[in-house]
Amino acid sequence: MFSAELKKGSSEMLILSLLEGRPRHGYEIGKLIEARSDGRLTFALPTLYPTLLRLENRGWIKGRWVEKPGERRRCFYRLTAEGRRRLAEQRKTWETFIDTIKTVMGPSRA
Amino acid sequence: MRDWERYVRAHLSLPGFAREREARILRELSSQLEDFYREAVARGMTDAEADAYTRAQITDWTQLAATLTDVDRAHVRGHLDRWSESLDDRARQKRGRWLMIADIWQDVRYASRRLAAQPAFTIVMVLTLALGIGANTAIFSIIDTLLLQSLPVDHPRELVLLNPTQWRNGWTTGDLTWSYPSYRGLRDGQRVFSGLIAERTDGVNLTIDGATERATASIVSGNYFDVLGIRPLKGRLLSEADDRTRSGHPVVVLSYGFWVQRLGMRPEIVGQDVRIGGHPFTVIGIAEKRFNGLEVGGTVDLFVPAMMLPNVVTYRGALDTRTAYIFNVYGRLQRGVDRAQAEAQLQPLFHAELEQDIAQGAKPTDSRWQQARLLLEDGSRGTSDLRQDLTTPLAAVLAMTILLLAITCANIASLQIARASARMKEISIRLAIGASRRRVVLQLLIESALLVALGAVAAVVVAGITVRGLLEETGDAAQRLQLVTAFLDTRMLAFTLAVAGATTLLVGLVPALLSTRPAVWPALRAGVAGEMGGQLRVRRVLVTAQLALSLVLVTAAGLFGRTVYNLRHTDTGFQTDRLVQFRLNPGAAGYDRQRTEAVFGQALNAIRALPGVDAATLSVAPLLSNALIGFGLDVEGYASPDGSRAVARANVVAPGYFRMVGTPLLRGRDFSEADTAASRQVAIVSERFVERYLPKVDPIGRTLTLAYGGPQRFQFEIVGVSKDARLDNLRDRPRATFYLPYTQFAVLNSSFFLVRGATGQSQLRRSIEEVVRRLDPDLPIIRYVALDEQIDRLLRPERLVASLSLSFGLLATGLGAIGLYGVMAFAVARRTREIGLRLALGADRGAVRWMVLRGALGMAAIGIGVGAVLALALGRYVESQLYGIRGGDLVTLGGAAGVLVAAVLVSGWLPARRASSVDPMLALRYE
Repeated sequence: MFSAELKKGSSEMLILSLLEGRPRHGYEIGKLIEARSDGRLTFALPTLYPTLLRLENRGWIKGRWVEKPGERRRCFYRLTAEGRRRLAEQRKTWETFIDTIKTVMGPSRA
Repeated sequence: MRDWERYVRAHLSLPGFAREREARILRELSSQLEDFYREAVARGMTDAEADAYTRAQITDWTQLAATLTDVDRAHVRGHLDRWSESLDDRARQKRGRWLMIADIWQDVRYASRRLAAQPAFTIVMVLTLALGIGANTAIFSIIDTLLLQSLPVDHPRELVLLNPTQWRNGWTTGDLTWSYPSYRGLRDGQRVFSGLIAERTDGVNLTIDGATERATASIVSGNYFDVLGIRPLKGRLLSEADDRTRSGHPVVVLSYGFWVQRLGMRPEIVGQDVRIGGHPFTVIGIAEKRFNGLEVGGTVDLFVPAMMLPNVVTYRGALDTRTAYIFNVYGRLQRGVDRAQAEAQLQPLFHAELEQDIAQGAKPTDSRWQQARLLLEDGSRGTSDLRQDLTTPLAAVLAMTILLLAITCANIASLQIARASARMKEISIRLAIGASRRRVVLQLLIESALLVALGAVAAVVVAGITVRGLLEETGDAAQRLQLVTAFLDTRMLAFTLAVAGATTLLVGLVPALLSTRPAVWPALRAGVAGEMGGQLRVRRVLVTAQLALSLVLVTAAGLFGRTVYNLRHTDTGFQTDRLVQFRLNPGAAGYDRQRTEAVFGQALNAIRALPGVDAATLSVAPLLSNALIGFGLDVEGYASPDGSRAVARANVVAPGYFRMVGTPLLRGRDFSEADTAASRQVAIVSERFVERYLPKVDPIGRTLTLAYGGPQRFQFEIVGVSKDARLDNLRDRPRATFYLPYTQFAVLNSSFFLVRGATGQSQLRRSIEEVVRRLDPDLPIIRYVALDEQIDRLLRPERLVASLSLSFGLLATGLGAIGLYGVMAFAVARRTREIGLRLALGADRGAVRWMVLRGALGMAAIGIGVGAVLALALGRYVESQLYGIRGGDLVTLGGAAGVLVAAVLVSGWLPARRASSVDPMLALRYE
């Protein structure tokens, strides 16, 4: 539905924001994006996982293998302090950007 | 239910990653796939549906691997960035270099994981490289020792060897060229050398602690060690003061090798008394380790002053005889004097010496001596018989090993291209996501370099084994060379490194450049099999080159193999089967002429009486050892146009020799017991002698006049003519030869015995040893050998070259066949569609097969054409080494071409059969 470039630019921020509330595992993140966007946004595993890895490499998120009662062991990712700061930054940039675009593209004031 | 981790592991390969990192990634991916699977099952899919659904989550594993690699790389880079930022400014400037090193380190890890992932390929390649590089290293280290390295003396470049051109009259041994009086004349008269030394080498009987053995003695002028700059390891060395009075300096210096090998480094040997040739000597010192005489590859056990020559060997009076050319003379040029100046200044002195020689009894064979010049040759590398014997065979072998390495390179380059094309997709993705071409080329090169490095390490082992084997093959003369050859020295390692570097570029650069060509990338998007024509073309050229070089090696194998066969089947003119020869040297044990003759007579009688011995005789010159004695002589009835004397080779034998060795007498009679010192002196001449000097007259009754180095003339009457025989070696045509009875030979002091026996070899040897021990326990048996063994030994260089070229040729042909198979299989795979179409349109399967085979044969034809030109050129170069066959022998070339065509047909047949069995329907659906 959206072009790959558009998705790519936003994927990092989407993942960070989904982890803001609580740690989640990889499959859950993919499904959440799909559900919350009503299926308009999907990140296939070959795209999603490398992004997680990249974020983790940068130290913005941290994965930990945990076994929850009644469930398999899974890797849960949580936001680090650095990740939280970056998310705030990106969110701000993004909002400013959207506002700017809206302003430019908004209904003609003629 | 499926094991998703196993599934992921089977599909995803991450060679550049640290193991625990890779494991984590695999675990995470499989965990997520597991989630997909469980969800699908929960949604009511069947097992198979859920399985397919899950698999569909990741379709392009190559792409995923490339992406993950990229993410990982950025990660390492980030670490380095942060780390280098924390360093001071100067370090920050070095950041670029650190990044490069980090990249290379990653590449090395990546490459080693890739190689480890394909062990069969890696092992085959490493072994091939080990053979290719190792053979070169081995030959190089031998050539280096024999031909290139300087003697371990002070300033070796200042050393020159004094060699007169032309004319010698008198008895000589090998290449020795100076009499002692001439040496003294030159030494005292010259003004260009800072020192002039004389040396010769002899076998002597050495008695230590009551046990007598053979040893090699260098008999040297007193200034020898001073002029060469050799220092003592223990005690002291010889000096001029040890070389003043005739027989007055019974002192001896031992070589390090002898001290270690035979004396087990006994320290108390210095100062101890030993006996040489029965005379007492005192050991005064041990020479330093690196020095082993002036003959490279020779063995020197001890050094004796020249004044003691008459005591240790039997050349009595030799130090005063002007025609006894028994020394090598080396000079050390004074600083600032070059060779040409020195040579010019020495000529008058040299001619004065020659005139004195003539005044004191030397009789020149002709007047050419007046043009004789003294030449100063480079003495920095000493002398070496081995050098002369082995130079051409070694050069031929070196040429072959270089060819072999070239073939190996072509083979590996071709395989690397194939491997690179299998990675096309990965490479193109890496280029597409922004890796620079330089980086990707570097990475591919590093993989080749790693392969070559492994090969080079293995090559050092191969070289070690080869050097040992080659030295054993080259025989006795090379024994101590093993000690001399500083195996694994820096020069050899540098050579190996250089070869490995060149090999890396050869096998790595072409494939790397080829597979990262910009033109390839867009084409790749369409699919892998599309635009690989360029690569196929390069591989075809490489395989064709391999076939051409293989033809050269196989032809060489044919030429040398036939040479060995021809030599082995040469008619020597005597029977070698069951014949043994050995030497007794009573002269060295202090016997005089009369006692020597007596002990020879007794020994012959006792040996003939042994059970199982058919016959026994004497031959002063050993057979097939290039040891006949050269003489200038006057032949009654022969006058040369230019007044020169006749020249012939002589052997001194016992009665019954001719019947015993199987050389028929054509005319006249054999020597008999009645030919004694008191009776008329007689000689037997060879057919060739008659042809050369007495062609039109009856030779019987003519007189030969000759001298043994002294002023006295001896006359012999010809009483018989023998058939020609190849007494010296198998190769040379028999030369003019005459024989004298030992009873009438004035300078008899040692001789070889020839024995033909029916008993087993070891039994025979024990009996002979027993006989000799009973005669005199101080007489050692020297150089005991069966003649057939001697022939094998003579043929060693030829056999060595033949077997090496055969094994190299087969190896090369095998590699060529494998390369050809690879190219043909790839070509067929690329043309599957086209072939399918042809078959669908009704083409005959036989025709398809032929079409593929024709491609293979086309390459073979070009390879054979080019190879034939090279083989003919090589054949001309080695012609002097061949026997009974010409370098351009077309039968051999044709045979080699046949071998190659057979190999090509075999390796082309499989792809051809695969092509003809293509299913048209499947082929059309291909891609």
